[in-house]
Amino acid sequence: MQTVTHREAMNDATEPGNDRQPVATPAATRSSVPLPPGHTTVGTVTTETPLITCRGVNVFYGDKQAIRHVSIDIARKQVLAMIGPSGCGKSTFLRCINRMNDTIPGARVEGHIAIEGQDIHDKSVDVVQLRARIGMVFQKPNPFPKSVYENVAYGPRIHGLAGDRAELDEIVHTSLRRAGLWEEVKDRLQQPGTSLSGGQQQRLCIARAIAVNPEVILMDEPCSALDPIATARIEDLMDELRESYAIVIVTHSMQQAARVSQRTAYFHLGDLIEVGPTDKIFTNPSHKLTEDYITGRFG
Amino acid sequence: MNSTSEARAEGASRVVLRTAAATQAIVAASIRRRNRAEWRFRAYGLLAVSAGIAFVLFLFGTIIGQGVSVFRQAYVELPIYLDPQIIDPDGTRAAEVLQTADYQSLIRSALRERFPEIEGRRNLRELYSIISSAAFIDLQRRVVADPALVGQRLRVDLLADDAVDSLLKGRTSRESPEQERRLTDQQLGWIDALAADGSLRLKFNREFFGNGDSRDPEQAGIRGALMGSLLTLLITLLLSFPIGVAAAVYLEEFAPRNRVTDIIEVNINNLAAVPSIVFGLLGLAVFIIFFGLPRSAPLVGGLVLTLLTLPTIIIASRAALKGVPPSIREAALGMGASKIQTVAHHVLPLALPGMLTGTIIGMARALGESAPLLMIGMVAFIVDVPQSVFDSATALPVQVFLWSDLPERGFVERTSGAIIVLLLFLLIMNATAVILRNRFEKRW
Repeated sequence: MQTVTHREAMNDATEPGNDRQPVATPAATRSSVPLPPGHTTVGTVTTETPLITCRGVNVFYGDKQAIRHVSIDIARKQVLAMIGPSGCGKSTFLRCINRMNDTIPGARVEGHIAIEGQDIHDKSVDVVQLRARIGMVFQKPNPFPKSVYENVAYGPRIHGLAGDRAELDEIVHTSLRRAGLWEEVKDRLQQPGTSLSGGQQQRLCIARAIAVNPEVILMDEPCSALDPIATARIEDLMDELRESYAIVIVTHSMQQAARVSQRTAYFHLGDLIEVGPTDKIFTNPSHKLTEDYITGRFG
Repeated sequence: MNSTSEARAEGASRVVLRTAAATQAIVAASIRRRNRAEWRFRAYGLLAVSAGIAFVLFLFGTIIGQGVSVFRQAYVELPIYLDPQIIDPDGTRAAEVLQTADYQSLIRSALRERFPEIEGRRNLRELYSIISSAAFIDLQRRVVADPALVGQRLRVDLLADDAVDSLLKGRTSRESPEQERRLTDQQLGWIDALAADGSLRLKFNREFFGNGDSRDPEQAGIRGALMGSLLTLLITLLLSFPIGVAAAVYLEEFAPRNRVTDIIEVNINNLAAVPSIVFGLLGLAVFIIFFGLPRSAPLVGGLVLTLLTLPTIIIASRAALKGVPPSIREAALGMGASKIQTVAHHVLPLALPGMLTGTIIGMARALGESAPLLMIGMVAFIVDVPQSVFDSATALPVQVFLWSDLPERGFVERTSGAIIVLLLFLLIMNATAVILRNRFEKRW
């Protein structure tokens, strides 16, 4: 549908936004990266402190377009929640940010995604380095079938972050502590990570992600396989981690989005419908579709 | 249109209006039919399984019934005087002299000593033929190994003739007329006398496990064939495992999905179904005729069997790689592991048990294969036990094939005996595969 590629869009973008965007705030005009034409998202997609900027992102699986023309900023020290009905492209978009879609045969990503102004699709960017900067936690807890220690030590090991054994111990220790898991596993670091409970496994995965000291943590429905108690622990953890990292979370639970996030993005059938401060989205959404979803009319 | 929809509504209502009892009756009738069908299906299944078990039992029964006696062999224990006058008259004790000495005459004089009453050339020849004509080989081997034995009196187990052996095992009858027997009445008398004082007995058959092939059944053993099989399998394993695993990893983890890889995949699957004799022909054309490698050598056998087992190993390894959950790959890639690190650190260790299982099953198939080895000349009559992969050799299944052609009773027994050894190896390999799978299969 959108035949203009993002680069052309960038060059032609003499006028950011368009007439169909009623709520362009002054913050949007101050943003360093202009919005491409054809931008239809309601609300403020830009932020004061953008770490990652996405402009006009399209994803195709073969001939099928999974997400259309998504533009959004991801801010530092903030949790961005992405909500929407199943199959609306939230996870697909999340996986664009650390280029995990590269691993899916037939997947094609168009558009401009930059971290601190550096295009992540640029030839000079190594995908390995990118993923070290942008950690990811998956829907199903997926610890490696190795010991708890080895799970956390894996990232620092492959990236050569620890000079010696003591330093590695220190990293493992700190990461487990920050993930709120240390007290529970300190006596069984050598036991397999898969022997932990589901909630512990997910926190182990978070510890594993923060062990390489990333700037962003992407979470793809991290609590959908967990019980309410484990979920509450992870949510508390997210609140703490927000002090140091930018967090993007995909969730099916609107309550969870409301509890943990500062900004919320609503996706619908591959379109980014509305972005705004979480309290505004949940109390006074601007778009009809958002309102229908929030009020439980569908989804 | 209106009328049809009305009719449909009416039909629907008729079904709905059926009484609960009437519905139950219809269901009950169909349940009886369904139960009968299920019972019938179970009976067919049970029948098929029992037929299978019966055939396996019959197979094992006949093979073990015919072959288990091969592990024991008739030996005559006689005191033998290692006469220095005959073995080494000059007293040099040189290996060459000891090698070529006339041990046969020592055995004969021991026999004459045991039966001093027998006279006449014909009678003596009958007496001598109780002992295998190859019995001296063992004596010669012992003396060459230890020259100090010369001049001593030794009690030696002499290999009996295969006619004596089969008589002792009850395979030939004493009752048939003398002309139809291989043993005369007076030979039977001597055999009884030797058996009565305990010098003629069935003992562990060291020839069967220690010798190569022979024209005399009592001398023929499986050691040559076993060594040939082991050397061949060694080559096969060394080549097919790394190549197969590398190919599987590349195809599964790295290769782009396109027409070329599709064609490769189809070809691998087809190769797995190619008759093994075709691989033999290929080996003959490529390795022996084109590359000029030695005929009948385990090296060429191993190369041919590598071609044969590669598709099996690749298919099994790919299945094992497919079995590794994608979440593990995602976890590693998400951590910033490179593709090769993901495969080497996480995917391969998890897939290895499955790969090893596939490899062992492929090896077991290679061990039982005879047709391709016939094509490359591993079917020759070879007495010497092969010492390297370049020596002429034969393989166990081929040995079975060779012996099964021979008419002597002793070879019938040896055919089954070799099959027992072969099956034992296959059993061990398959058991190893199962144990590996159960022990090292990680759960996640």
